[in-house]
Amino acid sequence: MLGRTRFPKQLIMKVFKIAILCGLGVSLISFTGKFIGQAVLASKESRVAVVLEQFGAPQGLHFIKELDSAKVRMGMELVLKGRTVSPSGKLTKRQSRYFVCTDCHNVVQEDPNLMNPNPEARLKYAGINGIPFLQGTTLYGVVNRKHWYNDDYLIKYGQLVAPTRDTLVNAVQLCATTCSQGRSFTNWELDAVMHYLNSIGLKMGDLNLTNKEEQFVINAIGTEESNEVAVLLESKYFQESHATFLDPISPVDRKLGADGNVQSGELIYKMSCLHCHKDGGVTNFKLSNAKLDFQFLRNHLLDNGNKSVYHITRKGTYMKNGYRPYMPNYTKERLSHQQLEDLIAFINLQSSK
Amino acid sequence: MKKIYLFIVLMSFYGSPYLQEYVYRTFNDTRVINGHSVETLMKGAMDIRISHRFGDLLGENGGASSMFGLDDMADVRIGVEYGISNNLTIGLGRSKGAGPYRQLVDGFGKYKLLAQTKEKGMPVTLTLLGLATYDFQEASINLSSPTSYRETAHRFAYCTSLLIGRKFNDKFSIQISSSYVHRNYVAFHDQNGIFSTGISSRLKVSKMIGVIAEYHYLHPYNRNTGIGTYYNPMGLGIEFDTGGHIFQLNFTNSRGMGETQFIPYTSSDVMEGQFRMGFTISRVFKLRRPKQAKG
Repeated sequence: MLGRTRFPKQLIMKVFKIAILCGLGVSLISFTGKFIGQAVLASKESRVAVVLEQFGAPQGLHFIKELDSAKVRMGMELVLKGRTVSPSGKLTKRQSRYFVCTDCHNVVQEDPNLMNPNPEARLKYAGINGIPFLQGTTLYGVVNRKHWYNDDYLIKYGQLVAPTRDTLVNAVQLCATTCSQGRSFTNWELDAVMHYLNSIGLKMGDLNLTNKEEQFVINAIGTEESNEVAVLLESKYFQESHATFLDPISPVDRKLGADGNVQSGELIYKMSCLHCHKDGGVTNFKLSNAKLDFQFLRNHLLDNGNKSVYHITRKGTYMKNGYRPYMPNYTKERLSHQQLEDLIAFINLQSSK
Repeated sequence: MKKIYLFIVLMSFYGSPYLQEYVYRTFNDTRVINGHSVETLMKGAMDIRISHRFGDLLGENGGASSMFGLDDMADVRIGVEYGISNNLTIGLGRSKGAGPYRQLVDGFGKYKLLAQTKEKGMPVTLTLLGLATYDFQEASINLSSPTSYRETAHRFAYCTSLLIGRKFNDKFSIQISSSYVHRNYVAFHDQNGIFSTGISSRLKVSKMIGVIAEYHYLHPYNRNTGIGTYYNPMGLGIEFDTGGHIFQLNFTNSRGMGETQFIPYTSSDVMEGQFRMGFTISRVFKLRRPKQAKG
C-alpha cells in the first residue's frame, strides 16, 4: 500500500503566505503605476504634446518626447543669443548678424486666453507681466501649433511659405534665412532648437482645465475615450496663428488718436516701439521719450511713407542692398486699428507736453 | 599723476550696465565739425565717411569768381571706421591734406572711458582719442620746408585728446576737449607740440536737425612760423540725422580735416572772410547685431 505523501502544515502555510504577498505586491505595483500615470497627466508642468502623444494623438515631425538638457540649453542660446558652443566645443558663427529670434518673438506665454488670442488682451497681459508686444507670435507653444506662416504671409514671402505651413522645421529655417537675414541652422543646431522649442511647449497648467475636465483626462487612461481627450485638450489652445495684412488707413480716415486710450498707447510705445528703436536697439532710427521724438512722429502722421506711424506699422520696411535689417509689419492680429489710435493719442499727448 | 590714472581706471569700472541707465547720443555723430565728439560706434557698426572742404566763401580768394569757394577744393577725406566694442572705435582715412602736409593717411583709436548716466552717478561722458597721420607726399628738396623729410619718422604727426561731454537735456549738449598735437618734423620757427582746448556744442531743433558749433583755443595763440600765421579753428554747422545717414553742412575757417591738420594748420582768418563751406556724409552699416551699449 502506497502511503500518501503528507505536506507539513507549516509548508502549506508558508506557500499560502507567499502567494498572498505576491498578490498584494502585484496589486500594489499595478495601482502605483496607474497612480503615477495619473500624477504625470495631472501635473501642471506636464507637456501637452507628451500627454497628447500618450493618448495616441499624432504629433508633428518636430515632436521630441525625451528632452536632452544639453540640447535644450544649446537651443535656448541659439534662440536668445544667436549662437552657442557646439558639441565639439567651438563657439558657432552667429546665425544672423542683424537679429536674434527674440527681436520679434517672445519665448513666454503672451496671450492670457489661449483659445482666443487677441491684441487687446495681449497688450494688457504684456503690461502686467512686462512682456514685449511684438510682431511675431510667441515661440512658447509654437510646437503645439499645426500650421505656421499662415494666411497673408503668402503675400510677403510667396511660395517660400508652402513647405513651412505644416512643418515647423521648415518654418524655422525660413525664419532664419529670410526673416532674420541670416544663415540656415545646421542639422545639430536645428535639433537643439527643436529640443528647446519642445521644452517651451504648452504645459497642462496653461490650458486652465476645470476639475471635471482634469478628472475626465485622468480617468480616460487606457480607455477608448482617448480621442475625446485629444479633442478636448486641443480645443484649449489655438492651432495656428492667423495673419491678416492690412493697408494703412487712408489719410482722410485717420482719426489722429481722437478716441485713443493714452494708457494703452503708452504701453505700446514702451513694449513695442522702444523694443527695437531704443538707444542700443537693433535699428538705426532711434526713439526715446524726448519731446522732439514725439513731435517728429506727430508731424508725419498724415504722410504716406515710412515716417508715418500709420504707414510703417502696416507696411513695415524691406531690406535694401547694403542695409539688410528691416522692420516687420504688424498684422491685424498683432496690432489692431484701435491700438494704433491709442498709440497716436499717446504720441499727441507727449508731443504737446 | 598716478592718482589721476587710478581715478580714471576706477571710474571706468563704475556703473555696471545692469545697474545704470545711460544717456545716449550726446552728439549724433562721432565728429562735431572738424573734431571728434565723445561718441563711439556700437559694436559691429561700420561707418563710411566722406568729407569735403571747399575754398574761401568770401575774401580775396572767394566771392562769385570762385563760385563762393565751390571751384576750389581745399580738402577731401574718405574714411572707414568700425566699432570693435561698444566703447572702442578704430578708424582709417585718406585725405588730400591742407597746409604743408599732403596725401595723408590717418588712423585712430577712440575709447569711451565713462558714460553719462540718467540718474545720480556719472554726470559726463569721457572719451580718450589717439590719432596718427602719415604723410605720403614726396619729400621736398628745399631743406627749410617742413616737408623736407629725411627719415620716415618725420612723416608722422600725432594727437591725443581727452573729450568730456555732457548732454544737459534732449536738445542741448556740450563738450570740452583738451588735445596735444605733436608733429615730428616742423618748420624752423614752428614748435613740435601744440596744446589746444576746445569747446563744442549741439542744439537739436527737431528730431532730425541740429545746430552744431565748435571752437579750439590754441596754445600758443595765433603763432607765426615765418611761413604764415595760424589761427584758432572754429566752425558752425547744421546736421541732418535721417537714421543711419548723417549729413552735415558746415562753415569753418579750417581747410584741413583731422586733429593733426586743423589744430596746427588753420591759416584762415574768419574776420577776413576766409571761411568755407564743407560737408560730411556719414553712413553707418550694422555688420552685426548691437548689444546694449554705454551711452
